[in-house]
Amino acid sequence: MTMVQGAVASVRAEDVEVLIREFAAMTEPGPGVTRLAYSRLEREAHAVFARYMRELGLIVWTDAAGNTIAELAGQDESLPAIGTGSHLDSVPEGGSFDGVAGVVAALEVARLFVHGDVRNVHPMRFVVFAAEEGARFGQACTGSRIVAGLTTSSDVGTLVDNDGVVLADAMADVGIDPRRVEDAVWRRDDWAAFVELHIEQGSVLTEVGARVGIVDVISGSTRLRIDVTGRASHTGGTPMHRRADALAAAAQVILTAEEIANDAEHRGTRITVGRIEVGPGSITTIPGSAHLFVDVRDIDSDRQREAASQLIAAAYGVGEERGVGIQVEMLADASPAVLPLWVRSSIARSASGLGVDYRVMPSGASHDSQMVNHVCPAGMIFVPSQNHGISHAPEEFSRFDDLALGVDVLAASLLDLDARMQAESQ
Amino acid sequence: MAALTASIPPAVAQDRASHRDDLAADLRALADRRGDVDAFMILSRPSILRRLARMIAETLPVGIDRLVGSHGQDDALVSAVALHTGIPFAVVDTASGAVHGELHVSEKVAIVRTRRAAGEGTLEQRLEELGAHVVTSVSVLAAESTASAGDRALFGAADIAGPVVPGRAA
Ligand SMILES: [Zn+2]
Repeated sequence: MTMVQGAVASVRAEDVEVLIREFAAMTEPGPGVTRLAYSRLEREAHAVFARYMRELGLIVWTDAAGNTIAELAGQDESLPAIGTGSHLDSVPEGGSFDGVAGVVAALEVARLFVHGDVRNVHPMRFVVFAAEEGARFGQACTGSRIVAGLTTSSDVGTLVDNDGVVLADAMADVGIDPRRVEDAVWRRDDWAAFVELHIEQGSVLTEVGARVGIVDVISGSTRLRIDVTGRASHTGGTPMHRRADALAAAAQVILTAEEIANDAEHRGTRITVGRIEVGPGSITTIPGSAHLFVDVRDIDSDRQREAASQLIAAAYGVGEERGVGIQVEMLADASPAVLPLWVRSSIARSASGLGVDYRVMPSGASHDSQMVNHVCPAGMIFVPSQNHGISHAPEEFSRFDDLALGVDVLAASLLDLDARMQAESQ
Repeated sequence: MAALTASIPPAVAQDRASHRDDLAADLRALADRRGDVDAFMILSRPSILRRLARMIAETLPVGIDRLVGSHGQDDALVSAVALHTGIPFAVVDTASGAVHGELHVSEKVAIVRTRRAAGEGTLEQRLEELGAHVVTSVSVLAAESTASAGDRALFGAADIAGPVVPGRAA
């Protein structure tokens, strides 16, 4: 076995596998894993995490947002904590690794530190965030947004799932008081740094043959709804030149979106129309309306908005050309964010120290650590995703030995941060 | 949110304050633990360079003939501002005094730099010798020492030091 920082043994792939499988079994019936945000199953999974951590002798509590936090005391309790963790909720019919990988990593690091008798100076906190997936309530990272003060008790009263359940009611149903979520807000002076391990959810690492990814920037996203209004009329009775076909116009907008993102000035821009609603939706009626839901993602802040503007201008052009109405609404807008260099350097140094090949890379998806970065400097470790990077689907898979290696890098990084910040404070 | 109207593209653009806050957060993310920022660390990221160029461009008065920067550290910054504005540039090697690119007597120039080094006046002196007229001088980061009059900095020490996290610095 290799040694981490000369103090801690490395993690065994078998142990990681046992935990991943245990959490994967906690699911609604059906393909893959279904363990939705603020559901009973999510709470049960948090309870399993809490039980393991208590068995290790850690102090465990659940905060007012439903996040579960376990603390391993440091030698100097006056110091702010170093944290790691991820989430245990899933999308409907998702995989076994998204979020779970980072929680299992936290458990394994806690075991390494406790059994290896590691003398961390800063307190170490292991966190499971509630409700990371936006699949149910349309907002991602709810638990971590709450700790960062980005989502408040008034916000939780406005978000509704597909069955009409208000987020606040879903929280109350599982024993969380939605009026008190502000109690969960983290204080800046109570947290020194945070590192999250997560599966890549892409195929960069397997393509380049690196076993660990270090995230340097998290993508931003501008979301638009483009409403196209044409004229619904009989498909047989309306000649082609008399039409105002909303769907044909929408199709042109979609292809333009793809063209913009493929342009040479847009390495790193991704534009997707992931949802389209067409009315009246009859095979014998020319579509009178089409609603496009557009996601513009970028690692470049201004370029993201410029790409969105370009698409909007193109949509209006299509409207003019085809005689259909265009209206655009901005649904959401979040900037890309560079993650702190010095946390990243700790991870890179730790990976090198273990002889692990790493790649510095952007994260295309948003993650809890992005929200945590509003409280304290945060870093992210990616572990390769197999099956062409498929995620949010039952085929989602990461190798257990890759996960174990990622946990080794995580453990070493946390200790490196502990030692560096300790050295600086003296 | 409200439907976008005739001012379509600007409506997608960020408001000035959050644009600046986001950029300050990215600069802080690239600072070391003491809050020191290495010019190459920030200028080598297109997302940051693009935004800096835009912010600098907005401060430049009309009638500038040429942008000027210190050869080496500020090559990328001056090029980016030139691309953004269409104004040609020259870089000056402050050690040797050599000028790279065209620079002519009585031209109105704007100095563009990442940060004025403490006590640095060499670039201005050289430009004076060459007969150029310095109209304005813009830095990304405020100098450690007190900046001279007419010097503008996009970000002060308070923007960069402090917590290495997004949001307005304390
Ligand atoms: Zn996730």
